[in-house]
Amino acid sequence: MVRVFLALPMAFLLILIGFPVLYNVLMSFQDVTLMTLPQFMRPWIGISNYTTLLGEKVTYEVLANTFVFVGGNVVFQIAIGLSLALFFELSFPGAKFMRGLFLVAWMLPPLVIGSVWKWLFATESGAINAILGSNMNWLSDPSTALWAVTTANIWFGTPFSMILLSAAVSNVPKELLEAASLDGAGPIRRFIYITLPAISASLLAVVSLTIIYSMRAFDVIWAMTKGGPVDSSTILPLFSYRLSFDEFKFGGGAAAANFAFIIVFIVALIYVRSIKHEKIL
Amino acid sequence: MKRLLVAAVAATAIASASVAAFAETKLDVWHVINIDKDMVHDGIKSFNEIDQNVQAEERIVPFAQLEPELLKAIATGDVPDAVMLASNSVPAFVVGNALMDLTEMVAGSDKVNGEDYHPGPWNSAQWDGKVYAVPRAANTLALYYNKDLLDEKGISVESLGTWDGLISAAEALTVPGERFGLAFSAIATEEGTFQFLPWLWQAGADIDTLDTPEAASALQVWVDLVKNGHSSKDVLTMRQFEGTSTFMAENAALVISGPWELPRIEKDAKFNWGVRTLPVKDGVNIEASALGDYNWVIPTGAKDPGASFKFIEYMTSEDVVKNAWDSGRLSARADIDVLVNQWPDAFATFNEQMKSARQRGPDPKYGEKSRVIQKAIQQAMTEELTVEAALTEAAAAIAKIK
Amino acid sequence: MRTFGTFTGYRSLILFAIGITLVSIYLFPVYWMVISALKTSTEIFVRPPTFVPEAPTLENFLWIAEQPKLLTFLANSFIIATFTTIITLILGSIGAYAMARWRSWVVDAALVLVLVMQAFPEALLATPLFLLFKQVDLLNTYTGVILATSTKTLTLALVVLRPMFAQVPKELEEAAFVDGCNSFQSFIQIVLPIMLPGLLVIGALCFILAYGQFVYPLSLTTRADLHPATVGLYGFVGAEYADWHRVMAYATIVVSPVVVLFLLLQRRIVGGLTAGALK
Repeated sequence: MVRVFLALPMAFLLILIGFPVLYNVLMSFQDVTLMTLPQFMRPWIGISNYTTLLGEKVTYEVLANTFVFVGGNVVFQIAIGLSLALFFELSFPGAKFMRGLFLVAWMLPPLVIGSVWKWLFATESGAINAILGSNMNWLSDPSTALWAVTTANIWFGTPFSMILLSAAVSNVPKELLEAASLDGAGPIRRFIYITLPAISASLLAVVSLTIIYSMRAFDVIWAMTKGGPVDSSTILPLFSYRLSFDEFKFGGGAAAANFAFIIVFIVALIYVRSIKHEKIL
Repeated sequence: MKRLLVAAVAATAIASASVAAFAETKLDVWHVINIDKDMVHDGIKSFNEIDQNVQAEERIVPFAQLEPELLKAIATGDVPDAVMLASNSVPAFVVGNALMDLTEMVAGSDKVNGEDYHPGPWNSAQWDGKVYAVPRAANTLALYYNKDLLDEKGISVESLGTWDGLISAAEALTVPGERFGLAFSAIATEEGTFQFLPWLWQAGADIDTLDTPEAASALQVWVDLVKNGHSSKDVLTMRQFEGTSTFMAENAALVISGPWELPRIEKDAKFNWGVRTLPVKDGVNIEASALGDYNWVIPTGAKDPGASFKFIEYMTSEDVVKNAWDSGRLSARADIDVLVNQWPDAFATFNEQMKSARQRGPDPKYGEKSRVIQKAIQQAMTEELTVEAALTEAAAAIAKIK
Repeated sequence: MRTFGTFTGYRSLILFAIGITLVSIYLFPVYWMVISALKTSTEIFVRPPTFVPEAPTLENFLWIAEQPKLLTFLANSFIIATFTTIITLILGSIGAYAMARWRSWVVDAALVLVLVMQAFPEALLATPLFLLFKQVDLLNTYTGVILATSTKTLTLALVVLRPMFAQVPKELEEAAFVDGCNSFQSFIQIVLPIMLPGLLVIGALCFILAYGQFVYPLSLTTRADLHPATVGLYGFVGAEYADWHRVMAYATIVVSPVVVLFLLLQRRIVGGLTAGALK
């Protein structure tokens, strides 16, 4: 039974997305120009798309930007999401309703989020400088642009993490928390010794999804900075898009995307290994 | 694979057979124009009234998605019948074998004649001595000014005719913390290059002579404008229309922009404004601006090129093109007088500016070179590199692009 | 007896105030979106920014409301999102249940595969997917867009539902077996009802995700009457000029039905969580 249950969704995914994924992996080993694009069998060039990319300084900048962007997103989305989940788990009037309101941020189209944050971060007409009384060039200074787009994406993604973590937190057995409370454990100890272990499985799942989603972020950054200034906010998807659709280097674009593929693969392996220790009820 | 191909061919055959059964040709036309007043909409409507058997069906593709969508269509062999492509992109698609050679059709046409066109737009339609496209319209950049602010400071419009005049006006018009002298766009996309090229050309340099003092003098102007606080540093991420918005909000006294902004400026600007031709560099006196707009092309593999070409002939005929100015577009054809129902002064200015507008390229590698220029601009303006170092690096990178 | 974590009197008032403050700060960008839709295209760029529109105008909303295709776009968004959610929930719940119950390397491999298949940006996957759908004649159909979108939401469902299913005590099912249920019956009759709150949450998230899809609907359908609202939205961002104030008005209109739906259902969706069926 379980085999059939597993086979159905897997077959669905493999049929629909297996071919497109393979197509891209294949393309990263081929010489794909506009001329050869319509053919399926293009000149095979081994790993030279990769070596070309690895020979360019900008590739390393993009990889470093990607790590900062993804890392920042994971840390802050989870930290803020979990804090909010715990806070709204306290029952006070309107708590659940307020928690629901956060999700409005996640409902907005990324294009809209990107342009709203572009205005908020604008030097002269931006609300952030107006509120802080500062005069920062958030988006046009290479040292802050990456953090500005990261902030916008954290804002966008946090409600998603929060809702899923809320689901996990609300499933923590209340009896255990009460018993610990009676034993004199404070909120922090209760969190560390009871809540955290109880939600660890969900937490890991949310972390891995957050990594994948931020690894794929495109529209928010595109609307805010187009990856600039001087590539300072370019991450892998923008890089890959630029190679494929601006410069028509389709093999290079596929190879750049494959870096993301490799990173996600490693994350997936770590994730699967770590859930081996999950306790079975 | 073979079976798939057979199936695909069969499916296409069935599809075209069913079209024939209705004795009607449907032309799949892609363009990016979302402004309701643009001539393209009425043009398609009236084209469909001429012959009920040939019907154009428009698909308005979001601008940023047009080329990715076209590439996808090429990759899958399922191409549209006519596409409105940015004129600077045409050669790249030509060398990729993606566009149909129209030379013979143009030669046999009594409606499309190269001699009727302004040389710039017509050049952008050709590559390697052959015709691959027909220009649908033209636009270019000029300098918009806030008349009230100029009067207040006693600055004459004529004095904005040279670089030095413009720079000192920008300085005089700047009110720190309140208003900038000049707005423009130095964004890391084609828009940034489009805005920079006039300066480069006015200085007497070109894309392949970036490591010259002339080129450096052009980029230095942009760097200084921002460094001296006469332009916002946000020009690095501002699109052209955003720069124009700061002009309309009276946060910039001058802006370099195109005629497509006229409808909005007229509606929303609460001050007296005007537009004049771009300045020239003192002592060099080269007039130059960049040429924009779109060309009609037929992708390779279009099902009925003859019908596609008929459509293009109509869309570039006087019936359609005479309405170009309704959305602030100029005619690419010298033999057509567009109807000037509004903004006559601006029309005169842009028409004058058009005489010195140069096409970008034509060059199949233009896109790549443009990216190099964008990077150099951004490196210099963020002071990551000096103007000379950024341009030397860029010149080396461009020399490598073959 | 007061239940754990319930506060009364002034403490709950303080918490309420903190909650309101957090929500207000967090939703400030949403406020900015809405007031930008009430501004003219010029006022958006005024320096310093206006926190309340100087001369609020409904012009942008009225203009959007007059767009002939608006209702078609919205209806398409709902159709695509609804069916995507249904497919995702069916395949997601059985798959996640299997992953939670079956301890085998096959599950590990499947999980890695599910995650890895999501690594590519849609822009790159759209071309081969188009090629695939052309072979099976799914271009320009709702089915095609729904299937493509489901590949995204299904990952989310599988990954998040798996630990949730793992929390359902096996003993409950074992008791059902004793009563003569087979495993399919026990899944339907015992496990799914327990999982209902979790499934509602995931369903809501998948719905929202599908509602906001852009690249697949744009690429897999060329006919405007099949396009969802997101594609309509991108139509305002033009080559030389973007109608940002209209984009914001449009976005406000497009998002509103989902927000209202969500807030109406939220007692069941988010509130349902705390009903805590999994104790």
